[in-house]
Amino acid sequence: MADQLLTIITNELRALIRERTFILLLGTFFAMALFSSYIGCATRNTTLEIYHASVLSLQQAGVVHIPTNPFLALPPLSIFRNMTIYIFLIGALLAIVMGHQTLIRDRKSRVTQLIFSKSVDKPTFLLGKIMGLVTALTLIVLATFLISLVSAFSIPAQQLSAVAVGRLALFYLVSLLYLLIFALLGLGTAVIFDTESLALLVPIIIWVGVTFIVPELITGQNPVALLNPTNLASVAPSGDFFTLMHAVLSPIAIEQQYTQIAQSLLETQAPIPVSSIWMLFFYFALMVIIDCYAIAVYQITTDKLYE
Amino acid sequence: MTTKKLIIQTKFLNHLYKNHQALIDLNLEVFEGDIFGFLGHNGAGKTTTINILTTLMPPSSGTAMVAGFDTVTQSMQVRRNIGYLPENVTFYNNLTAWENLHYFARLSGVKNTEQRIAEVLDFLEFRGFENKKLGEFSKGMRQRIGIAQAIIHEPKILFLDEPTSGLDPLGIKNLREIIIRLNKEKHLTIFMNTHLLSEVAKTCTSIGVLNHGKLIYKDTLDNTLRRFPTEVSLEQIYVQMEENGRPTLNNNNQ
Repeated sequence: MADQLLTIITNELRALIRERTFILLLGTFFAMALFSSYIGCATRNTTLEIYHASVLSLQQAGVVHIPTNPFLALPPLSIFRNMTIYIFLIGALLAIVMGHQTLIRDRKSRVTQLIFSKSVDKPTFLLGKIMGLVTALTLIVLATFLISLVSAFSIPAQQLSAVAVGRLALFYLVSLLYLLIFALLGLGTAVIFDTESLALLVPIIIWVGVTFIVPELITGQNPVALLNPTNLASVAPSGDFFTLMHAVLSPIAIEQQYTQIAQSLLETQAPIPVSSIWMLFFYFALMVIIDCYAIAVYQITTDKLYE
Repeated sequence: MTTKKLIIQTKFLNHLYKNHQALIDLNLEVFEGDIFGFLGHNGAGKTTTINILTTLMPPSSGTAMVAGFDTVTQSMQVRRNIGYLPENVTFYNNLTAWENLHYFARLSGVKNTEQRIAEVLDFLEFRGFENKKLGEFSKGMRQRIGIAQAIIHEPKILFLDEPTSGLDPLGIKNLREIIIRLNKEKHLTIFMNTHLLSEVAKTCTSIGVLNHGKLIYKDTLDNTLRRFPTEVSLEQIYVQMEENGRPTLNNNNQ
């Protein structure tokens, strides 16, 4: 079994790096990771310049008590706050495509019949596919972590302490868990649906719902504001509607859970919200269960895949 | 006279899809060393039979033994003893022939993968294409890779579902030669679903005819051609059997 698992994992990695859509999304993701710290640094410098200009005009106006610069309190890791957005936008999309491709590739080429005519059973097959996704995403996240470190250390005024590097590593670990949820979602729908386009469209619709619609209903923020990580710490608007929406939708607002964890790690340095981490684990486990069910009821011989 | 060993045997095999009885009490026997041609119209139940024999699905009732193992209770042992090439498999287009073969060889439990791939490609006279992606291959070339993956773990029985489908005349001739060589040189028993009667006449040693899920005829090719002396071709014999739905069973092919 171990040999078969290793074979499936290796084949997954080999097939993935030959797929153009995957390479295109991966390239975009890596590029954004590379520029993330520069963008973060430039944003901070701009903010500081605005603060200094404000101080100057206040002094000229005769104001004696100048407020201290609030942005100086931000930890060095805050330059990576844009990575949170890249993870739940490009990263999650990349993960969906990876999960989708891993099963659609086999169904489209009708290779599943061949695989199950060998001495491979369904649990081994599924485990191999999931482990292939875990391996691929771990390598991607590890590479992104290294890119972030290199880009951070290449900025002269920006030095990260060992603790900060540890927190950054933890951020990427949580990101890996978040991405895996979407990869497993893509895998599950690739087994369930008979139409290739629908199998990709459904997880994308879920991703849009989770990333934009649910947070909007909970916080009342418009989609653009939702993408701004500094706004996420803002207090949710009061009122019966939002109170109700918050109570009902919070359990499925995994993007919010992820953002809260990311904020505590990168920006506020508040204690990590453990409940949010459990929530991510819960959704990961749920996706595994859905995938197991989908593969268990998958009919090898009557499988038909339409475009 | 030597006695051939029974290698495939089904007893009262039935398969029911939602509202359609695909197989009705199928009692089939195939002997070691045969090239068995399984004939029948579209929807006769040929692929259903092959799916059951290759353990891809269980029958609704009845039993099927392949290489001495039950296809339901001993499916893994059956799988170790069979090679299968389904209809219209395209494989991984982005991977090379070697990568595709390596994958299926490892899944089949082949240890000395490199050596086996080389041996199989040598046998199929297909060296020099290992590093080309399958996306660049013609249908005929893909079928060779299909045969290669099916025999890489040295099975006893090879199942082919409509192997000549979509091939040009030269591709059909090449495939026929490969099938005969596999039977003669590698001593493989071959179970082949096909529509092409001309191929059955040139390749098979015994035939079975399935009509609406029922086996209406089974005998050696030689006996079949002797039994219908007034007929000029196998095609006419087949058409007559299909039209009459003749329940003539003759398993006396030893």
